[in-house]
Amino acid sequence: MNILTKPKPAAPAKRQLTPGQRREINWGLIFLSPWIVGFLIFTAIPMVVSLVMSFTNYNPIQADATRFVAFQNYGRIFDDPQVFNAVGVTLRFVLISVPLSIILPLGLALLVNAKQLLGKNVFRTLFYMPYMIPVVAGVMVWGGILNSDSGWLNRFLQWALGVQGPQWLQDENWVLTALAIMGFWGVGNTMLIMLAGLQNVPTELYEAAKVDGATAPRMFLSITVPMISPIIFYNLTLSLIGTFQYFTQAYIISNGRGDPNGATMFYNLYLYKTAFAFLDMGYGATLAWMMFIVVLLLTVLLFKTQNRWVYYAGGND
Amino acid sequence: MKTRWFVVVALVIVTGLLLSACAQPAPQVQIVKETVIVEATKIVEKVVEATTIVEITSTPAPDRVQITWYIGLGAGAQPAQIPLEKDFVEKFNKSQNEIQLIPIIVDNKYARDNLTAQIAAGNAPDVVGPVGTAGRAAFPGAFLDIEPLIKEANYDTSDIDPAFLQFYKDEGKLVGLPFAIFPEFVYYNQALFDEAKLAYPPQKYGAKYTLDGKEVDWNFDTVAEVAKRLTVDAQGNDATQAGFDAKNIVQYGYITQWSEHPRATGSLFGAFYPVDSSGNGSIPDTTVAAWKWYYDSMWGKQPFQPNQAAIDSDLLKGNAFSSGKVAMATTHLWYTCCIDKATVPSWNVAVMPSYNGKVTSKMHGDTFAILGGTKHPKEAFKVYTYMLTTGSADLYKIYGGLPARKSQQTDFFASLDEKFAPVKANWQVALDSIPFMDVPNHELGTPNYAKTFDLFSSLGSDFRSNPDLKFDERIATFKSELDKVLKEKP
Repeated sequence: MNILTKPKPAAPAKRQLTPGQRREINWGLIFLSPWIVGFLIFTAIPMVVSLVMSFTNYNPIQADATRFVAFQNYGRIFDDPQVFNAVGVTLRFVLISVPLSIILPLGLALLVNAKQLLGKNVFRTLFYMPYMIPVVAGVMVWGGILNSDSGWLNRFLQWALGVQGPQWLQDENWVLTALAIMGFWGVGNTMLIMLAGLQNVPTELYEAAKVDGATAPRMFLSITVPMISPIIFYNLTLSLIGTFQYFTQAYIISNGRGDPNGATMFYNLYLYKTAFAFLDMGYGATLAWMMFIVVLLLTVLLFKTQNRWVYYAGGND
Repeated sequence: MKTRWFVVVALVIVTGLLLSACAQPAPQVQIVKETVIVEATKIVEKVVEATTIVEITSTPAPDRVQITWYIGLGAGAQPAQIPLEKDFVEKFNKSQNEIQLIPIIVDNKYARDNLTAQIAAGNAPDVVGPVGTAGRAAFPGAFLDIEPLIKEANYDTSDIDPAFLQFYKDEGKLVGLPFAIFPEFVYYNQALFDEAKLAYPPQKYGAKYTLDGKEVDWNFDTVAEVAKRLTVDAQGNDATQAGFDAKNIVQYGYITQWSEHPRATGSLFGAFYPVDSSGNGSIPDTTVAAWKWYYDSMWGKQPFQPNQAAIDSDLLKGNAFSSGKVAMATTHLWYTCCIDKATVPSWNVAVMPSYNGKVTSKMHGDTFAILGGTKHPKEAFKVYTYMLTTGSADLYKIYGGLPARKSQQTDFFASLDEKFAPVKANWQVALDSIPFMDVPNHELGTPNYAKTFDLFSSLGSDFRSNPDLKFDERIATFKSELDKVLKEKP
């Protein structure tokens, strides 16, 4: 044995569990089993099945004709102009919707957290309440509000500004904005999380800043934003993932066709149509997996950026 | 002892959790919940939130075979029809004790996608209907050939015109027995004609229309002229008058009521099939002319037909003619399902207008079909025969379809008169329209049907929504897209 060679560190001795600990683990597993079984049946197995399906030409109506097509479906994605259109629509909507889905709830949270506001609880409840409305019902209501002929929004624009409002849901230049406006309806939950974050900012920091003569905007940018940055990060991640999966509202507003003129053909809607309307379930599964990969990459990328702008009081661990 | 009790309690809890985890997820919001007790059958109805689908579920009766009846692929999901369908199911379930009929009602807009999802998930229903040619075309090969069942049950088809039996064959297979036919004609609101001091549209094919004291042909030019005079803005000006405000219309002259798909509107001027013998796209000039007429009726200088926003507005509420704010509608016999007597107290029917001397009355033909994947074909066929015999009178009332069996037609019209009394429409118009049916039919399946259908739908959406459409360019783009889709392997 070479004396210069470092001795191998001894392998950590296997921790012996006491019978009590073993019993505790077993009970833990028993109580977790409904969720484990549920996860396996309703999530893991369908995911594996869809992965397998993505390598086939599976059509539910002609299941007998199913055959293995290797990576053909994956190659098809790059030749499919509809995919590029759908990605374009989705990205445009991400650019409009994601920033608003952070700024608006943060603004509302600041509002309902303001000392000067009377009836805070009433406002908090009012802003949160629309979140309790089912998405479909909400979209139906907004369909009426945004109707270019008789909708409240255009009537208001006519009354307040004297201008004829656009055809929100029929004009391809306005429909994404209309969907973003519709999204404001459900910011109550994010607002509430932001509010919880705001209320956790130590008041001493503001007091010290005040003593130092800091202005309100300065305090907001230098204290509030860094202190609630983990909350912003959390909401940003959820919003990004949610926006890439945007479906229900677009499906209802566009009659499931991406109307007007493909302007609301979101990636998820195209995926759904491919699988369930065109019965091309193999390719549909491929589209789903591509979206999963892209969203996963974006989420990882987002996580990578957090070291630069997210402040964790207890460290990043 | 304590440990044993603890284990038992823990196992009970875990089993309970497992069962609830495996149970169907509860709808997020239950809007309606009522319980109807039907002899040995409990039906719990609920409206679930997902995609505005109305879904009726039932508690399965253990001593009966469950047969699910899928409604919405054709007619059947209108609010006025749903209670009557429930009554029908209740009556059927009471009539025997072997089968439990369970209806699933889905909004027509989402029915095709929803049924695909159900088939893909292995939850295919047993009986589907009423369903027309277009509804069946979306599911090629999915329906059962019922000829062997007809033979086995010795079901009498002698009262059915053999031509109609041919009409219900898909790829050589008889997938349904003729149930109802729905010719197209004009519905008109008499009060609005009276108010405008205009003559009613003619009720006999070949008859002239009297306009400004002169007899003119009842063609689409005449319809446009009459419709313009019946289109009124908030100030009371009609579309032919100076100062007419097209942005503030409070009454429209005409609509292609719930028949706005371009294959339907394109057939107004003559039947067409969008695929030629070589498999290429084929859009005749008459079809383009019909589309242009349709587009100009909404976006021309003197619009007389509501565009999409107007159809969805508070004024027309999605059911334009029934709002009482539309004077004429060309649509099918099934529209008798949905005319509100309160808002349209006086109405009648008239013949279809002509184009270049030729009349076309689009035909819809509905049937019920059994899905190939059914586990209980015999029981499904029992339900099926009930629907077409004992229960048919009830169903005709719900769906407003002219019975394919001639022996049932008189009763059917009498039931419509009873429903709309004191209105007594001239139903001879419906019968007279049958010979003008569109051949080839506008719902006939095409290669790559789902994508072709969507392509047409998007064109229709553009017609109804885009005031700045470059019409000729759009048609050219559409034709090239159609060629591409037809050549694509589905």
